[in-house]
Amino acid sequence: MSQTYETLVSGTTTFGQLYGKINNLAEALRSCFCGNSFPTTPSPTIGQLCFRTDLNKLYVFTSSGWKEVAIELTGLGAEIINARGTKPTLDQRLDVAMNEDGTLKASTSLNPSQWVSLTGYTFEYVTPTTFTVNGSHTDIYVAKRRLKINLLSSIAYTEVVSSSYDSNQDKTTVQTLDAVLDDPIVSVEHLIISPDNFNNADKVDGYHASQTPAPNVIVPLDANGILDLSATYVKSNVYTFRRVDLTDATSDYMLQVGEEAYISFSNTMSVPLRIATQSGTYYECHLVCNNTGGTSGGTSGSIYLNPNNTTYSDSFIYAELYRDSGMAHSNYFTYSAFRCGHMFVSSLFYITNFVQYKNVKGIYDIYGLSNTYPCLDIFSTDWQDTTTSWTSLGTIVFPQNSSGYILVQRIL
Amino acid sequence: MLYAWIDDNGMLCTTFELQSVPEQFRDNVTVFENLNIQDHDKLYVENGQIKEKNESMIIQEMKEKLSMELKQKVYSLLQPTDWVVVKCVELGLDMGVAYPEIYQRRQVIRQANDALDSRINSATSINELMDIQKDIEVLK
Repeated sequence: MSQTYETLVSGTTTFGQLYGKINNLAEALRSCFCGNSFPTTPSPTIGQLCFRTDLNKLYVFTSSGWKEVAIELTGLGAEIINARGTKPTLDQRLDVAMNEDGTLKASTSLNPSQWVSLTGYTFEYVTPTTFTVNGSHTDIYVAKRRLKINLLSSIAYTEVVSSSYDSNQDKTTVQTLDAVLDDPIVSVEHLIISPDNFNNADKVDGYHASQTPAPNVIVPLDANGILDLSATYVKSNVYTFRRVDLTDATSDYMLQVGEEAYISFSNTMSVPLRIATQSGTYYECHLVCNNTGGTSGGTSGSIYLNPNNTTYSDSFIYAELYRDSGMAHSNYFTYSAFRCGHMFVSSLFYITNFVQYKNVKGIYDIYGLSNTYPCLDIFSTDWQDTTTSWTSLGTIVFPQNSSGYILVQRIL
Repeated sequence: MLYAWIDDNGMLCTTFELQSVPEQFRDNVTVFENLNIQDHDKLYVENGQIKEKNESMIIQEMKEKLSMELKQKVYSLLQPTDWVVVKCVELGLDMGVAYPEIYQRRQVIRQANDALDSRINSATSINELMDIQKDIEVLK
């Protein structure tokens, strides 16, 4: 520690103290106030030095405190540290490109040929699609590797179909894709990159291609020319190509525009669609029973769509024109839900949901009664309510146990 | 199970699941354990109370409904040959002679109407009325 810096005070410092104090001052200055901490008494002044014996570094006192001389005062230290790059030392970085004596290391060619040739081997013509070369080279001549055939007066290009090695003759026979070989063959060059290293050749913008649909994968057309996305789907800003299975769903699902819900039902008197909806939407719905067709077995009664899974007393007016085996008829009835079919049915209807106008209209065939096999019915049902929000598409209610399928596609 | 309530418009509403009852009505919902999703028409409102109709009320309503359906059905069956009646009146023709087949068919329809109307009026059970409904539907 040489930080004993005592100021000489006139009228206070005795002559007897003078030698000791002057020596201390000189020692502190001579050692640059060395110590394992910065001097504090008296308060350091700008420009004062301090050699930190614990850090082995020289510091200078600046207007913003003690700073390492090498870094803060000259910037030289920082420059050296930056010059290390990703290497731990500057020396290691220099060793990458420079020899110890300062000469540069051997450079690589900036324009290497994409073709390489087996040197010291003899190529022999066999057929326009076959040549041989002495030695075992099946590891070189792998299928699909491009070849550059140097003939006597021309150059031909093709690729390897297969190669085989005959150990008795110590000779490799190569089959080429194109009949471009001719006698004599001067030399054969092969592409520097083997097809075995083309694992990433199917990438576009970093995405692999695969016949198995998966996230971040490009899917090609299959052997039948079909883009088979299986469980995934196509989506654009305006339309979604997707079928969702809502059979036995327990909570409402909001279909996107274009998206289609599929629901199968078996031997039941009601099917909750579990489809969320909102004002401004429009749907196409197919309700198809697959109960046995015929002129009997049907229970007389209508099929309803209960919006919001609810009936609203006498709020729905139903208009229909229908033709059974008797003749044409028409009706105008009041119901407590949308009527969308009768007995057993194959029904196609459109659902309009605007809070101020809510309608189900369509066409269906009835079966299961003597005069209804077939029976054509064209209908329209208005929900005569202009304020109630239709938030859940609802439940289909049958007059008897029924089986079949429901498809609901959101159009708007 | 059928949950019933009266909405802000005084409308009787029903559903088969409590989650479909709007929240503001859940405290006032009436539960009918013996009814199901098809049974909306078995309920009625009296003095602000939701009640289940008794059998005689249901039978009476069914009779009124079937009478109307029968009238509509018979009308739609007779209407296509009404022109024959008009023609015979205008020309002073005896319809039974000029158009015997049509005359006979209209007679059969009217007789069926009378028979069904009589059955409706005398019916005493829901099952009886459901059979009559089927017969109306197949009438031709």
